[in-house]
Order: sequence, then C-alpha cells, then structure tokens
Amino acid sequence: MNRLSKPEDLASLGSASTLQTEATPQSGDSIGKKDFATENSIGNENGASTATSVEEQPSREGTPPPLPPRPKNLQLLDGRPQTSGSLKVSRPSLQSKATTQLSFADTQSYSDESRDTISTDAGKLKSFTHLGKDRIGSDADDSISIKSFAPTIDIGGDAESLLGEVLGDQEKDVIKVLGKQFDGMSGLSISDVLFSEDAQFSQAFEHEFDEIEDMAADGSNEEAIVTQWRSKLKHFLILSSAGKPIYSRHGDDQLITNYTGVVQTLISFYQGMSDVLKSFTAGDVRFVVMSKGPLNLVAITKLVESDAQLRSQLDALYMQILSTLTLPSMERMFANRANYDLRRPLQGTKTLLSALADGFTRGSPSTLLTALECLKLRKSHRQVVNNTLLKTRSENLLYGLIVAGGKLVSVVRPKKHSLHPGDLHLIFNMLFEAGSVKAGGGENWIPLCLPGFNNTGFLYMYVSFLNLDSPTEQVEERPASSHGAKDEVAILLISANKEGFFELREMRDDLVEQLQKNGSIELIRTAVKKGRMSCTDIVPGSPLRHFLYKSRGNVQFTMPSFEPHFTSDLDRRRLLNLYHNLHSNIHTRPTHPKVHHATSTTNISLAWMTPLFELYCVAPITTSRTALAQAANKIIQWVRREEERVFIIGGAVF
Amino acid sequence: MSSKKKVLLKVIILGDSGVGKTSLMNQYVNKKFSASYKATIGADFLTKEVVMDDDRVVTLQLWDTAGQERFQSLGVAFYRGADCCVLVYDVNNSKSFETLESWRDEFLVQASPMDPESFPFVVIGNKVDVEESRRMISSKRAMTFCQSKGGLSYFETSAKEAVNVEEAFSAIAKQALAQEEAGDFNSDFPETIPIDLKNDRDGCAC
Ligand SMILES: Nc1nc2c(ncn2[C@@H]2O[C@H](COP(=O)(O)OP(=O)(O)OP(=O)(O)O)[C@@H](O)[C@H]2O)c(=O)[nH]1
Ligand SMILES: [Mg+2]
Repeated sequence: MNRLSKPEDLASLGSASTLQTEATPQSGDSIGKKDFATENSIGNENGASTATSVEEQPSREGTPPPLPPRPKNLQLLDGRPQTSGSLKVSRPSLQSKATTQLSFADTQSYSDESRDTISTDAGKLKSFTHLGKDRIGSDADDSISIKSFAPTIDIGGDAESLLGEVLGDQEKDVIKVLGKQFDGMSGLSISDVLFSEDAQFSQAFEHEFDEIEDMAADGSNEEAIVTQWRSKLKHFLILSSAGKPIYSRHGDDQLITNYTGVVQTLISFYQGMSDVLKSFTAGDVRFVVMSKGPLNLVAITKLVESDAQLRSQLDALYMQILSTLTLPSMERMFANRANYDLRRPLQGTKTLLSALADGFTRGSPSTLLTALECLKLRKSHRQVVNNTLLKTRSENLLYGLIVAGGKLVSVVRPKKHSLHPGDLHLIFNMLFEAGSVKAGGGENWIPLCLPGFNNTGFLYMYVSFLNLDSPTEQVEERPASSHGAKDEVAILLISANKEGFFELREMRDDLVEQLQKNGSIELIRTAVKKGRMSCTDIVPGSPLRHFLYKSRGNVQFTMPSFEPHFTSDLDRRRLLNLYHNLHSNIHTRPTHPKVHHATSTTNISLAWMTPLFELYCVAPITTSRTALAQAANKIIQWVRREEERVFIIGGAVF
Repeated sequence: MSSKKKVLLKVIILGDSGVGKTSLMNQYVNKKFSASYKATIGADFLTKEVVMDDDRVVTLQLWDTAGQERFQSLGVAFYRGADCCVLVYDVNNSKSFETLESWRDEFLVQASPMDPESFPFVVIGNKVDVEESRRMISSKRAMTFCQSKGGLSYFETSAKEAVNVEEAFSAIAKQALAQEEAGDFNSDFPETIPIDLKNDRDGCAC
C-alpha cells in the first residue's frame, strides 16, 4: 500500500529530500522550456539559409572558405607560439582534480560579431552581460547564417587562462605511478581504462532491460517484483490527469497503478495551490514531471542526466503519442471524460514508446544533441542522389528520404516545409529500433502524424527496404537481421494523399532504377559498408577516444565509430554519461562558458560551444589539457574540411 | 502492462474519519482486518484485479482518502476522472450518515463529471457486526436516502467479519465499468492534412 505524505511510505519512491516546483527559485532550468517544437528544423526557412547556401556559395570542396575579418586582439593571439612547450606553469601540487570549470574562452571569430568575441587576456572574465544575452538568443543563434568560420581554441601562451589548470609535473608523476599500478593489476595500461570500475552500476545496467516477471495471482512474488522494479536505473511513466496509467516501461498494471496514483496526487496537490510540480529528488533518484494537457509524463532516473535532458526525452515520448493519435483527436477523447483510458487507442504504440525509452536509457547522441546523423558522402555524390530524387519526384510527394541504418542519405522536400528532427527521430525509431515495420516485409504503407510538422492530422508514408545487392528486385522479406539494422537502407516517401500508395510505389521503382543507373546505389553501399571513421582515421595520432560534433545551424551531428574503445552497451552508456555531464554543464551554467573542461581519475574531457557548433570529446587521463585542446582544434578543422560530406546542407528542395 | 489490455477503473472512497474506509479496502484486497485504528493521512492506493460476470478482467485502482478534515488538502484534481465514488458511513454513528450528502456534493463539485445525475455512487453502511443496540441508522432510513438521490446502490457491510464486502465491491466494479464505457464513442478518425503542394509553391514568398 502506498501511503502519501508519510515519509516511510514515500520511500517506496525513494525517500523524499527535495521537491522542486516552479515557485522555488532554484528550478530555473531554462533549457527545459526549449522543447522540440522550438528547436530548429532542418532547413527551416526562417532559420538558417542553409537551404539556399548550396546554390549561392561556390563549392567548398577542396578550397577552404575565406576567413572573416578578425578583430585586432585576436590577430595578436595568432602570432603566439602554438606549442605546449611554451607552457611553464607552476602549480601547487594537487593530487587530483574534480570536475573544474575553467576560464572562458571563445577565440572564435565571425564577421561583424566580433563584439561577442572574448579576448583571452590571462584569466580575465570579460563582459558577462553579453554572455547572458548570447544565451537568451541562443535559439536564434542556431539559425544565423554564417558562411565561414575559423574557430580554434588557442593553445598558445594563453593556454593557462584558456584551459586553466594544466597538469603540473607533480600531477603527471602521480599519474605515472597510478599507471604502473594499473599495469601491475590488470595488464592494462592506464590509457586503456577510460572509466573507473563501478560494479554496482555495471550490475544494474546489465539487468536494466530484463523483463519484470508478472505478478502471481496470489501476489506471492510481490516482494521480488517490487525489488526488481526498484532496481531499474530508469523508468518512464505516462498517466492521465486522472492518475490512470497509460504507459510504463517496466512493470504491469498491478505494480504501476499505485505509483501513478501517488504521482498524480503529488501533481494535483501542487496544481491545487496554483503551482506546478516540475521535478524532485528522492534519495539518489531524480523525478522530472511534464504535464501536457490531459497527460502527465514522468521520467525517473538514477543515471547521469539533467532535468533538461530528461524533459527532451519526455517530449519525444509525447510526440510519439501524438504521432499515433494526433492532438485534436486525443483532446477529443479526454474532453468531458477525464476518466478516459488512453491505452486502448494507443494499442500497438507501446513497442514504439519502449524503443524510444530504451534508446534513452542506452544513451543516444542524437537525442542528447537533438540532431541527426548523416551518411558521409562526397558532396558531388550526394548531389547526384538529390537530383535523382528531384527528377523522379511524383506529384503528391511531400517528403522523400533515403536513410541508411538510421543515418540520413538524402532528403527532398518542398521549399515551404522543413523537416523536424523530432519527427525524423520518431520515424527512425519506428523503422530501425522498434522493428515494428518488419512484419510487412520489404514494403509498407503507414499512416502517421508527424507532430513537429503538423500535429492535427495524418500523413502517409511509403517505406521500402532496399536489397543493396540487387536493389531493383522487390524485397520480399526485410533483409535478414544478420546484417543488423546498421546497414539497412530504406526509401521513405511521405505524402498527404491517402490514396497515394501506387503513385509512391511507382516513384520508388523509378528512383531506384535511376540511382542504380547513375551509380549512386553503389556509392551508398560503399559508404554504408565503410561505417563511421575512428578518431585516429580522422586525425592520425589523435589522443581522442571519441567525440560528438553538432552543427547547430544544420541541426545535425557527426561522430567517430564507437569501436574499438566502446564496444559494449555499458561502455557506451558510460561514455554517454560523460557526454550528458558535459552537455548539461555547458548548457545550464548561468555564466555560459564557451569551454568546459572536466577531469576524472581516468579521463579528461572537453565541451566547447559556439553559436555554430557544439563539440564534446574525451581522451585518457594521460593526455594533457594542451594536447586535448589541440586535438579538439584538429577535429574542428576536419569538420570544416568535410562539412559538406558529413552534413546535408540544404538537401533537395522543390 | 500486459498485452491484453484490462480496463482500468478509478474508484474513490469517501466518508468521515473512522467509518472503516481503509478497513473495507484492506478486507477486500488483502483479506485482512485490524482492530487498531490508524488514520489515513492524505491518500492510500490499492489495486485489485476483478473478474467480471462476463469473464472480463478489470483493474480497480482504489483511492482511499482521509476522513479527517486536516488531511483533506489533496487538491481538486484528486477526484478527476473517477469512474465510481463510494460513500461510506458507520451505521452506529448518525453524524457519519448525515455528512454523506456533503461528501457527495463535494465530489460532484470537485470531479465535475459530465453527467452528474447519472454518475454512479455506491453507499456503504459499515460495522453492522456491532451489537444491534448501538445501531443508530436503520436500513430503511439509509435506503430512503439512496432513493432520494436517484436510486443509489446500498450495501451493509462488516469489514471486521467480511460480511457483504465482496458483494459491495463487485457492484462497485460493475457500475464503474458501465460508467467507463458509457462515454465511449466512435471518435472520428483524424483528418488527413490538406496540403496543396502546387498552391504552396505559388504562395511562397521566396
Ligand atoms: N467492529 C468493527 N470495527 C470496524 C469495522 N471497520 C473498521 N472498524 C474499526 O474502525 C476503526 C477505523 O477504521 P478505518 O478503516 O481506519 O477508518 P477510516 O474510515 O479509514 O478512517 P480515516 O482513515 O481516518 O478516514 C478501526 O479501529 C477499525 O478496526 C467493522 O466493520 N466493524
Ligand atoms: Mg483510512
């Protein structure tokens, strides 16, 4: 029995310690307010001029873009020595350092925005005011059209002020000693161990996706079930405003119903006082609550995640529900009927919600960054694919997409309608994660609402999975899963026309035939087989183990392969924990640092944000900050060179 | 949630402090009774699966509330979306019977069901095991009250001796299910979005 407002019973949800509501000042998570709907869309017309920049700009392949005029103080910096050898830093000997926020650094410059550039005069933190302004305007920043940029983290003489505490000699000694211990212990060198061992977490994570057994009729196994349920690292609950359960990742009705009652009572208690319960902590568990009309969504986590990050996960779940029902029809269901049981119309949606939920629990760079990943392809090659899509476009086509294993290859869309990353995430989840489309074989016709595009009605999506080896052959069965979802290629043709199946199927046949003829299928196949590059493929000798680079204007990201350092789900989750930390640090600090550094006993990491991009990267602890900064700069340079290969700039527009 | 969806019914139990609301739920769900009194603070929740006459299984989500005034600060939304409301009094306590009407009114105001006239209430007179001499409210008086409120169902129970408890709750489940299904309508399938690609292009300023 769950009894409210008695401390010992609240312990069933963890023991209450802090409650956060809108009225309390510390709840200022402004990021939380930025939901999917306000996030930029790919090729958003009022946003970035990305859609047109392709035509207007001379090809950038090969030739670097011209540098914008740089402010004088930065020209000074340019002349400074670029080697770490110039660093003679004496530091008090510190054994180890906790995550430290360092000085601000934004040596990036871009035309006529130089007032936003912080001079890196040693240690001085200049002009907080413009940083604040910058933050408020950060949504708009995403869409500023900036044709060329040359950002670097300066690692010259100012490295001390830029990157703060550079490892002193003594500290390096400590690490050497530690390294020896590691060697002795496990035969591993210290640089092989990026995360310290946490047996409890590993154990919990290993069983995270295990099904909880059903409650026996006589309730005899209740205790065991409750223990299993509580040991989950993450829960999602969706309930109606009457407290009726709609969805839960773990546990059946018998188990969940009491909790949804408790949660709803908490929520209504605050509503009764004209307040809003947004989040609270109980023990080591964080609860984030999101109320959306007749629904309440709750994320419950023991993982490293900020409220804002959890909110964007809840947003995705909410969008999935709208995608099944549409907003007006869901509202109609609840109108005058608060007791409505939404599980009935949502039948079949559970697998989609759980696929999303598990994606979040495993850790998803795409969700963390609210951005999409593209298949790396030469610009000219992608151009051919784009043109083929345009040429074969049928009359009622709204969007046409070619997708390879969750990565976008090419998009064709009307000038007026951009494609929302949240919508694409739902589609990718359905096709590549939930496996729910498998039943239909190689060809499907799916009515769905894309809430980011329009939450009031349905669109119709024709899906065809390609057999890359003989693409013109109709795939009878979806390609065997032995290849894994990774290299599945799908053609998605979306129309508002209910009767459009045969029209779109014809377009598909035409499209595939043309792509085959002009060699694009072969190029896509090669790119798919190649997979992601490793850090050292990208920058030979790079100390980086992994990185995430988000192009904010394009709402896309690129990253190296998880292999060879992050092969297991657990390794990836720990890597994502680290990214989540960096991400929330750089996004939620009121002071809006441009560079955030973190050091643990086993790794050193960096987050770097400018109006154009976000970069997150990690290296073994044996890497110096200077080397890390250098490596980060090299990634930026690489992305700049490869920009039109790793990102889709504009796509095909009609 | 299991794959076959069981209908979930929200049932709210109201009545003065000490009439035996918690004891009734406990007897019904756990087949247990305790003579010691522990006032409910805020709200308690219990879940019970019920097999209906037609072999359908429904899940009852029982919301047990506090009778003591000082704990009744759960907010308007607490009552929202209930499928049935149970009003409990102690047959040996006339005050607890006289307040039934205000509990009912309170519920209707807070929950504001679509059709208040037909919203299912079940009235329970509890503690009938206590010696007859102490009884204050006769069955006749209670039934007259139920008639005057539009024919509410009435049960006399003992949580202590498990008298009539099953029967009362199975009637509650039946009425809740009927209420849940009453509002069921064939929702129009949402419309396809009217997008005229040609006009869109013409209308585009860029
Ligand atoms: N003899 C007898 N005693 C009962 C019966 N039902 C409950 N009681 C006793 O009455 C007292 C109050 O019972 P509760 O179930 O806690 O009352 P409640 O309505 O939940 O009270 P609040 O939580 O304060 O609103 C307890 O001491 C019970 O043991 C019954 O059927 N017969
Ligand atoms: Mg009670």
